[in-house]
Amino acid sequence: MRFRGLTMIETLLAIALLTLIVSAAASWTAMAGRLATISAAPARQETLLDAVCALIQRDLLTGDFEVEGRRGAPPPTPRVQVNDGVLEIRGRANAIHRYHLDRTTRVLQRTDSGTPRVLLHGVDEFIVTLDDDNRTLDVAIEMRDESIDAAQAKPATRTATRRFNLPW
Amino acid sequence: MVNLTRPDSARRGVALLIVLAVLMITLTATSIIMSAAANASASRRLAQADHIAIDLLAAAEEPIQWWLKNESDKVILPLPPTVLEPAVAVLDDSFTLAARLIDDDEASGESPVVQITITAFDQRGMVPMQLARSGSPLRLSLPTEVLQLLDAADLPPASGTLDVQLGLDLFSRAIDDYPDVAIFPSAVAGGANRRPFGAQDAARLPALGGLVATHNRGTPVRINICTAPMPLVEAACRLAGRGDIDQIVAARTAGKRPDVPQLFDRAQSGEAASSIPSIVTTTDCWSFRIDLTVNGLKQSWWSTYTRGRPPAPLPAPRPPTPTLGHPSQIRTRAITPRKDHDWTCVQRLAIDE
Repeated sequence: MRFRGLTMIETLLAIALLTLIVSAAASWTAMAGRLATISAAPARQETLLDAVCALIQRDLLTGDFEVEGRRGAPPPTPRVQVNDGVLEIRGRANAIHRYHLDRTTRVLQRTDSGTPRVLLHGVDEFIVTLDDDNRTLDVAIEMRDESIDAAQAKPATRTATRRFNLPW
Repeated sequence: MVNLTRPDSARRGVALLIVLAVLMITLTATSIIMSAAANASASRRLAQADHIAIDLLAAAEEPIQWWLKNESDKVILPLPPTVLEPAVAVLDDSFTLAARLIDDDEASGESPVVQITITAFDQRGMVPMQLARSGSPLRLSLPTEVLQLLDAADLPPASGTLDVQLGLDLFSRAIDDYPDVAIFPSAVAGGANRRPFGAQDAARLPALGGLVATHNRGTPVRINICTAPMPLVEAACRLAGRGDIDQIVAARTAGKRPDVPQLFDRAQSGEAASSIPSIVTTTDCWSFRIDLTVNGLKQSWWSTYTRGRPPAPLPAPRPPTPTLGHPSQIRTRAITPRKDHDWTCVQRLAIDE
């Protein structure tokens, strides 16, 4: 049997239907992408916060511990200090690592020998409490995911709090 | 034979389109949910592994202190010519951590597999860095690649003084230009994985940290002839005025301590100069490479311990939970090392490889 050709109306209908399906699929894909970004945000934020806490932990654990007990030496500068919300950790070769929140840009920075390095964007709070008596350092970081458009979805806020025992 | 009339096929076509749309939406939603869950799970597992590794680092203090106290003075290494590093396996163990031992907020319900390897390196069994960077004959006992790295490194002016302690991290920038040498020495397998002493891994690069001492300063510097490799023993004995090293080789081959009083030690006989080493048979400074693997996440540390410090007061008891506004998420890491021993950690570095 020979196949009859399509009429003009059938062709136009098919094209219109196809356009409809493709545009629906495209918008759905875009929406799915956005949904995926939003749903992955908490995990991403948690990873970032964990990474910053791991960096602080590493700075606390590494260093020289000998000079502090040297006989006849002047009293050593404390390895960890908190001044106006800035966390300072004295590392190897007397290098100072400074953790500081720039409230204007909401950027958490780590400065090594005067060179700043951006750690996190969208940080609302960076609270550091040093307890000399108990030799502990408490760090709280609150951040918002700025990769999500605030007009379309409420940015997820995440807080990480850690207590570090000072290792010396 | 089915008679497909026009209204039926249109209905079926519409039904197919609806099924297609529903399928697409369901599949996409499912994949998004699964991807988010997998991300969250991976993030949690990584954080958990990281926390466990830090806890294990604190726990490693105990076997290290035990080894330093009970075993370190007994170490006498054979002298195969292939061995250039004064390395001893302290601990090589793997085990499964019970899930109940993990903090509730971190638990993923799985029991993490943990591997811990601790290798000791005798600082007195290596060439002191200040001599290796000078014209000392001890320098000749080092491989060429290591010498090149040593000479190329731009160390801070006060390095090696009491104010700026030497450390292997000072070479992290220079190492990029020297692919044939490593900064930190590899771990030595122990326990069931132990290989005969001297059986070198062909792919093992000469490592600065296994050949050059960062914590062997003072006048005179000390060389432990019970652990130092053959080239260094020869060079040190020659410098110290002892030409015949047969006695040392024989003693070490037999696993016995060489008889030091019989050795003529110029460093202790009034001829001391900063470049002449003092020959010793025990060590008061060890470095440890600590490798911790938790569920595939690996952390490595380099810790140096010295003997002779007065015991420091014990750390204060653990404080109550802080209230920083989010007490439910507070995690406590017990990282305070014990200080009630006469061996003290004087330097700790993170190993990046």
